[in-house]
Amino acid sequence: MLRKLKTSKITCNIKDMVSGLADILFPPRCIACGGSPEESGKIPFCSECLRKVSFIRPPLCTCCGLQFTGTGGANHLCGNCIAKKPFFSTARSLGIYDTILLDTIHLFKYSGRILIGELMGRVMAEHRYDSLSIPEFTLIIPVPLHPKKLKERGFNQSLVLGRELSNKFSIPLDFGVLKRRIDTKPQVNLGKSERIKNVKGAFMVKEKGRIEGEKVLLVDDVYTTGSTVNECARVLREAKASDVAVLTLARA
Amino acid sequence: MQKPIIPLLIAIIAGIIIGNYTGISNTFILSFSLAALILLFFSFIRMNYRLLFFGLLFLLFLFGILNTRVSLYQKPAKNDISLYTGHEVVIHGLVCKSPETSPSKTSLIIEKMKIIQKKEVIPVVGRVSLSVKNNLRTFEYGDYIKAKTRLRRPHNFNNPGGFDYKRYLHSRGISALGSIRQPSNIVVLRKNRGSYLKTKIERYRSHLRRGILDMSPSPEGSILQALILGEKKGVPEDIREKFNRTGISHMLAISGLHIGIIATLFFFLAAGLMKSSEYLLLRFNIKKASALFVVIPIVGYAFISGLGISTIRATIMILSFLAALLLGRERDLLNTLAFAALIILIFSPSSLFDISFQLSFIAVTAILVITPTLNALFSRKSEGPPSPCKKILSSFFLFLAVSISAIAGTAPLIAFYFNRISTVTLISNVFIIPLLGFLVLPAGIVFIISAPLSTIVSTFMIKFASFFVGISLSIIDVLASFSIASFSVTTPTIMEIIVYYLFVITTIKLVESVRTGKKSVLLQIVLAVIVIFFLADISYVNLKGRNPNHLTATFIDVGQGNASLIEFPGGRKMLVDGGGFYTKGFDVGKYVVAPFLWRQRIKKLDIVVLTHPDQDHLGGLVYILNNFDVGEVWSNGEKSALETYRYFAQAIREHNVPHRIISRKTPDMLLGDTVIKILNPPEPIVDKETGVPTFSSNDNGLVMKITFRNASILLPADISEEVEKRLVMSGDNLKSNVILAPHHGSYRSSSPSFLERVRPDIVVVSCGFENVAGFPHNDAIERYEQSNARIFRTDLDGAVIMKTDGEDIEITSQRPSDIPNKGQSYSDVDS
Repeated sequence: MLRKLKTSKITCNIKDMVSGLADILFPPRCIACGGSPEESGKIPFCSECLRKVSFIRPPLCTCCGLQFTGTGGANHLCGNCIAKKPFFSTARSLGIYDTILLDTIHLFKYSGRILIGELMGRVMAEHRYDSLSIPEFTLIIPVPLHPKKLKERGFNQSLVLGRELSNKFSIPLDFGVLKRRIDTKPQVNLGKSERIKNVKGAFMVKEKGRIEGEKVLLVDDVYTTGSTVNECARVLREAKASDVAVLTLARA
Repeated sequence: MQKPIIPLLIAIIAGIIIGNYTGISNTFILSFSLAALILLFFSFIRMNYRLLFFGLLFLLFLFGILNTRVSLYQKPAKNDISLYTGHEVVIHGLVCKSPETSPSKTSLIIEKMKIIQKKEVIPVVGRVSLSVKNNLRTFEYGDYIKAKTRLRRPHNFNNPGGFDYKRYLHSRGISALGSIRQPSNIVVLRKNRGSYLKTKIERYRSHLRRGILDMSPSPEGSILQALILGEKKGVPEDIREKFNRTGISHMLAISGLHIGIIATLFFFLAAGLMKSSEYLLLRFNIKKASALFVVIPIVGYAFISGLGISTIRATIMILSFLAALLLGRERDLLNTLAFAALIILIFSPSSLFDISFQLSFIAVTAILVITPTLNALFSRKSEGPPSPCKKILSSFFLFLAVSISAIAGTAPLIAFYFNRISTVTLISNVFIIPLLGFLVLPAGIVFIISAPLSTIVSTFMIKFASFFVGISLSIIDVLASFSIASFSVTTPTIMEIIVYYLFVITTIKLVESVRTGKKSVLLQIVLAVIVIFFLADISYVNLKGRNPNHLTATFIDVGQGNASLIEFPGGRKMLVDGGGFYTKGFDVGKYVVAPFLWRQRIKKLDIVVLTHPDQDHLGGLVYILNNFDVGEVWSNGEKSALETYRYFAQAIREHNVPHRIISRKTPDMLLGDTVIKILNPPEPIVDKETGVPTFSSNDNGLVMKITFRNASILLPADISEEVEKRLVMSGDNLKSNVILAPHHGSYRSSSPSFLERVRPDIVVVSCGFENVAGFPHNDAIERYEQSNARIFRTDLDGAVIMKTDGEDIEITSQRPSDIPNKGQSYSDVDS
């Protein structure tokens, strides 16, 4: 046992050395501007770009994670969540979907820069969220793409993010159980009610037993009105998930 | 540091350059290297990366020096083949590369040799390049041959800035040359003696070659052969010239562009296949999986295309980009490019001096540096996913930006090495790269794969490819036919090239700063300074030639033959003869005389003199007449049945150059303070069109005496003793400070009575290295020694430059450093 530990420490050390060498020869770069990244090396942005990222700060909605304007004050439910309680318990995001995060997500989704998604997934994993603790979950499910859409894009952006979270916390990842059965229109140019209608019945759970009793963390790239994740949460709850929470890279 | 490989690359480049030009002792470097290694080891263990980096920097610098010194200055082994040059030998050896065939000859590279001397078998190391003339047989890789030949050591034309042919061969392991004119002097003893794998590959290559040449029409086939198999020797000279004129000759070599296209093709193929499977898409990273897949076809292609040195380099370059993609380090492409260059220079430091290496890397660097800015100027940023139409438009703009960047980056090097600027290069690239790169090359790849599987598919592919090659050739024809398509430029200096790149970089920075709204006064000042430098430089170049007060005579090293450049006080220039080889296929004018003149920044020659129409005086002049601005041509009027003479006369006609026929009867000519006196022939030689006058014409040669104040030069062409006697009898003042030895130092010229009258201080012998006629002959040399003249020989000293202000004479030579003085041999052969 001790011996095993020792070798693993040595291999770990060599791995560190090699990756250190790789960092020396091919230093990490800011994914937004290409400059030198911030000192700690954990965040793939330079300090200037990092300042432009609007991380979600309290006060925020205890349920959907909406950031309230103004500083100070306690967290409380927002009007929407009071009017109609979502199917998920909590939804949290890394930051507001503007400036740097918007550019980054566009590069990731539309220019196919998968690496950016991986790095952002790691940032998501490192971040601490208000009343959402990732290790408590037992299953990570990325919001699926319709097969047609997947083949068009070549990757599922939510899966890229989810895989990083799964690796970091050693939580099982399941990208097969939740399916998108309707190739819905892109949500981008739709209003709230249209969005809800657009995704209605778009998702299904393939093996009901797989979900039963699981605490599910649903991962997506952007939370706009929450209609997509809410629809997913609805079918997951139907399949007897004990809890469904949502984590997205950015939100409106 | 943002791009750490770049300092490492600079360190090794500095090391290579220093190792190349200086003689630091090996032990000194080795002990330093050991210290650097120890430093490196400890910093690695202690994980002190900063120290590690500096250790690496230092080590690479030393490595660069050492590696270059070892490969360049190492004495040949005791049994190196180069020690058997100079005599006829019988060699047995292995054809170690696929032979390259051009219409006039087949080139074989032989290694693993044995020399048979007096029934003794001596194993030797090194490689020999054998050129087999008038050959009807085919040789292939793996043939074990026996050949009887006289081996030569490679020799440079030692002119200022001349091409270093010796180094070029040395970097390919070749230390001796031989040519075989009689087919009976070479026989294949055994076949299939090469390595198993290489034999298989060569077999496949010749299968492909036959397929290409059988199924496509004539010039198209040779282009396909170059494009698919990397064999460009078969491309006819005139087509190559058209590619050069239109600035797309890079398409004929297997370059980074080539391998890049193949990699892109297979990348999208793999990605496309993956995209059809939801299963794979959910489980694998499509980019990394595709990148990993691409490694197989490009390495495979490198083998199929013959593993040429430029192919290997291009493959390393592309593999570095793929590796960066696989390791998630793809963001800094410039750093990755530097990594590829570093790897190449570690394994092959002499690559640094290879034109193809320099061009490839400068092209890609320019693309990475310039394209983003250009592209940003062309296109606007848009929100959300772009529409298909916009996508196509923006890819076209990107293509345009990439082409412009590559052209801007390579232009100074092309001017430096090839003295040519093509004005249509952007247009031709925009047409030809898509045609040859995106249609013909992919078809070629399918052909390579399908050749053993399906005749129908492979035939179709070749037909398809040769159709588009045909279209490309017509486009190139049209573009090359414009007289303004390309013009020749004199060689830029290193300083000018550096300033040019500074100009490009500053402009890019300035455009960037304007675009981002941060105007920089400093940048504008730098730009203004650079522009002023250019203007000053241009006027300096123009003025410099105009008003020298010296007379300069350069006896150019043209191998066997004569070519002398006289620069008169006041700036006028005269070229007396242009050298010329008897063997076809090497144009001394194009490859030796013109580059030398361009290097001297000469584009205009006021007078071109042909002393007599022998090949070794006439051959090089045709190219000069066609590519320089020539004021007038002087000759003795004699015509010749030589083919070259026809081209010479044709060039004079085509360019409307006045042709003056001169002789002793011509009055002395005055160029400022300089007098040109014609001493021979007694009268113009007109209408003497005999059948074969090539050897009898020596005595008709123009003899010129050039006098500037108290200094004089005698240029007596190839006259023999008889003419010398006549000149002595005539009572002319023959006294000259410098004489060009008559007839390359033949024993039949330079008679004692003549030398007594000339009383030269300096004699220059213009002759070929180890020439077959044995020039200069010992008798002649002895006579010069007896008259106390200093002797210079172009074969040993390289170009000889004489400069005088009319009183003192200063003489220098482009003496090569490492050629041992060969004993002069006597021979009766006349030429």
